Amino acid sequence: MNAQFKKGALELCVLTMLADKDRYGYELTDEISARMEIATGTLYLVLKRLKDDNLVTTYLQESENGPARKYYHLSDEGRKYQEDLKKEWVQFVKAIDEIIGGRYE
Amino acid sequence: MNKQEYMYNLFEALRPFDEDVRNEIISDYEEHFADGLACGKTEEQIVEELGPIDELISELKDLKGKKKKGFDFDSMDISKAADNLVKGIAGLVGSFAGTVTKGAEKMGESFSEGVDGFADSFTKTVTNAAEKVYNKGSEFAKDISDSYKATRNTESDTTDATTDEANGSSDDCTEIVVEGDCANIYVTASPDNVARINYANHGTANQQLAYAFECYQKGATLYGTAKRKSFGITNFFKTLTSPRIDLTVEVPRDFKAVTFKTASGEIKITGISARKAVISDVSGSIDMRSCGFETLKINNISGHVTVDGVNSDDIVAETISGGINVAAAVAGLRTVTTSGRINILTRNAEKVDAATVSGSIDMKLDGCSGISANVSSVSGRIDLACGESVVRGTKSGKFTLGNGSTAVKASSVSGSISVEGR
Repeated sequence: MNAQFKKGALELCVLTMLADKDRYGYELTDEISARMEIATGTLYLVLKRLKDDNLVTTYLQESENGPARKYYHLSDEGRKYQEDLKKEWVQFVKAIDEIIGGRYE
Repeated sequence: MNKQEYMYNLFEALRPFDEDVRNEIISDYEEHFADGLACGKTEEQIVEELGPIDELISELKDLKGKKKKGFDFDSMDISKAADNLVKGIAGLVGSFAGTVTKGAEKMGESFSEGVDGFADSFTKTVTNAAEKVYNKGSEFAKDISDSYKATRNTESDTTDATTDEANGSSDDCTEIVVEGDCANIYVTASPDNVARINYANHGTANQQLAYAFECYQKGATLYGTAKRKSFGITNFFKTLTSPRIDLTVEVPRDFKAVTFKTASGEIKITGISARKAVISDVSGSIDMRSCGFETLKINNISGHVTVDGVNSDDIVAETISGGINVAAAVAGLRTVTTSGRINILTRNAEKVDAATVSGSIDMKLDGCSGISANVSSVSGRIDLACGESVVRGTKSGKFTLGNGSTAVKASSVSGSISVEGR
């Protein structure tokens, strides 16, 4: 997958999944990797980038087994960004659809 | 690839990056493994899903140009451990190349019937292989005491068709240095105060020919080395099945110094006492029991370190990938690992340091009336207790419990820390 394209798409996936509730790393990466073929490791970099850009915040919470989990929380800024990104994405996909979905066949 | 290998490779690949970036990614991955395993996946499956480390690194480089220009790893114990690893490997390769060259020179001298006393005597010893040569305290020994002294006993292969054996001994040395490439090293106390090194190569005929055992004394030090007969370091990295080589060592009581090194093999040491001990392994476990030292230094790269029932003023135990267990009466103790648990049980300790990246730390300090703790964990829980003073569920900081007499430093990135003085 094209790197820029993938970057934006994965960002949107992660941000959207965080819109309804806070989630931890494995929860996010497992859900996404179940639907598309990606190296889950790189998703942690997506999360890191979002965090560095203050679109998400993190906090630690004890887990029943193993080390404490890092939870990701969508910030207000992130929420706004997610909405904008989603709109852009939908327009983009619509445009692509129109092209590949018949008009130029 | 299993988790340990993957995390080790990751750790190595992350070396050029900032410490906080490294720690964050290592800790994210550790958490991911823990959750994945809890969901019933195998380590190999999780490794597969996480994907190639190269890919992560190239994306990380794109991320923010956070890559450092130079290498500056001295800011933290863990970083030092990583640094030591590289130095260790470089040193190992260097010293290996050095000893091989020296060995080659020596062999050349010996077999070309050189004119000096050592070469002459050594050649005789080798050519009269069937004859057992002991010369403890003999004139021969005096004659060459300034250069080399060796007692070598090479048994003919006919006595034991499957094992190549050789040995050396000395009754007037105060230090011993034993090194092997792929040898297991087993050390016990000498029953009669004679230092002995026994070599046994259990490999095939070709493998036996490929390795040489040398034993000689220089000054007060008895040296024993089991090395591949290769010239140049490239051979060191060739994949070739290694034979099982055992170096069995007997050390007299109250020795001055002992050094045991191997690249791949286990090291087991029981019941010896020496002022100074240096133990190092690259890949294999190190196990020490019922020993007494003034200073003990253990360096491993991939393997567990166990120190049980040891008395020593000072102990330093380091490994990269493996747990560390120490039960010792020790004044100053320092343990460092990158990927592994640290369990410590000490008596009357004054200063205890423990650092790990991914693993928990458990300390039980007997004979302890107070703790000055400096503890930190990024994602683990920290519990401290000493008598009536208790600190539970903290994240990091400095704490004084009781009279604060024992200085404790503990840090983990993704593991919990428990310290109990009693």
